[in-house]
Amino acid sequence: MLSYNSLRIVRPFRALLHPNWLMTNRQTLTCSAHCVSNNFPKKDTWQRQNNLKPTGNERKLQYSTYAASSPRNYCTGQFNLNCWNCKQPLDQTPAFFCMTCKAVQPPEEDTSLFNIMDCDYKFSMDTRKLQKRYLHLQRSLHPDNFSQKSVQEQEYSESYSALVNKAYHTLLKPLSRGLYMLELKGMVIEEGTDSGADPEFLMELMEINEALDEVKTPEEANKIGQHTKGKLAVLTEEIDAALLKGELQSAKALLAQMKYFANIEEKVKEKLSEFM
Amino acid sequence: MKLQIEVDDHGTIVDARFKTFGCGSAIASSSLATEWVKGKSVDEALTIKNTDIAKELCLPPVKLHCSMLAEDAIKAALADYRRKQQDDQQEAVRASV
Repeated sequence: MLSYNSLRIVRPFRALLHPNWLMTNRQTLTCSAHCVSNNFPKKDTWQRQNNLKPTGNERKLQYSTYAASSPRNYCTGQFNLNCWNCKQPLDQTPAFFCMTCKAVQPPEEDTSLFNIMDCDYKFSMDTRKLQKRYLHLQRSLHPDNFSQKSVQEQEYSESYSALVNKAYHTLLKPLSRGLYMLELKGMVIEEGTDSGADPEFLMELMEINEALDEVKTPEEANKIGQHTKGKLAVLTEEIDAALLKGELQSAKALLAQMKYFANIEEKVKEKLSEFM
Repeated sequence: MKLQIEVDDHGTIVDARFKTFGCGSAIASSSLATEWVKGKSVDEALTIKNTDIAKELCLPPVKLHCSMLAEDAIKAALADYRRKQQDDQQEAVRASV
């Protein structure tokens, strides 16, 4: 269980080149900071001890011994570590409801969608488990459950429910899941331009599209659908492998290909519905 | 995006057809391209710029690349025409020898 109330950073000081120095004069830099909240009126202390004696002629480093202790206010970026209603600390993350007063909490910023849906952060996904989790969450978070509650709670349930929706739909499909994983790593696929697409691939797509356009029976459309599904399955495996190895560029290129085939799959569906 | 042109003996484009799979902007860009090249000579058609297409269609910034595709398609069609002309000429030379 992760405690947010105290944050301790321990950094071993890395000495430079001299081997003797490494052995004898290794210091630690310790700072401890405490979040200030209504229920914890502790003073913050920040101590730093730095005793470094330069050896020999190598480098003349000047360090002064410095110990300071003064009260400091230290705020973390997360304001909702405590319940907005009863002020008790929220024990879990993501916290949907307060353990103490049972009030619904607002969603925390930048919570990973994987965290919300309690799924491992990887490309292969158990969609049944995902769906179960989705239904379980919505059963308690859906705004319909809060029609008699305060406006604040209604707002929070609305935003959380919408976020859970988004998480579910993003993680459900391999394409959006993969794109989201890239996004988490800071990589975005720009809208529109795919100047990197190789002409042979584009030709292949053109032919599939043309064939789809000219189908006269649902069976023909289905054949193309099956072919596309096959391609998508292969791509899914490749993307899984690439993401596991951390090869983001190739994952990105494969996801771009997947986008095209996903579009074709959509068109197949449309075509089939035309026949009905 | 597929663009086909029919060129007469004087080097004038007499007909043009397109086939595009994609968003509305892409379809519109290629459609406009076919309208514009009709009646132009091969050299005149080369001067058509993607910015003209985008302006005419009032394309939003995220769709500007569609007009680029249309310009590329025109140029590719004309390059193909040129290539075929040269092949024909070489054929003629071989035949007359």
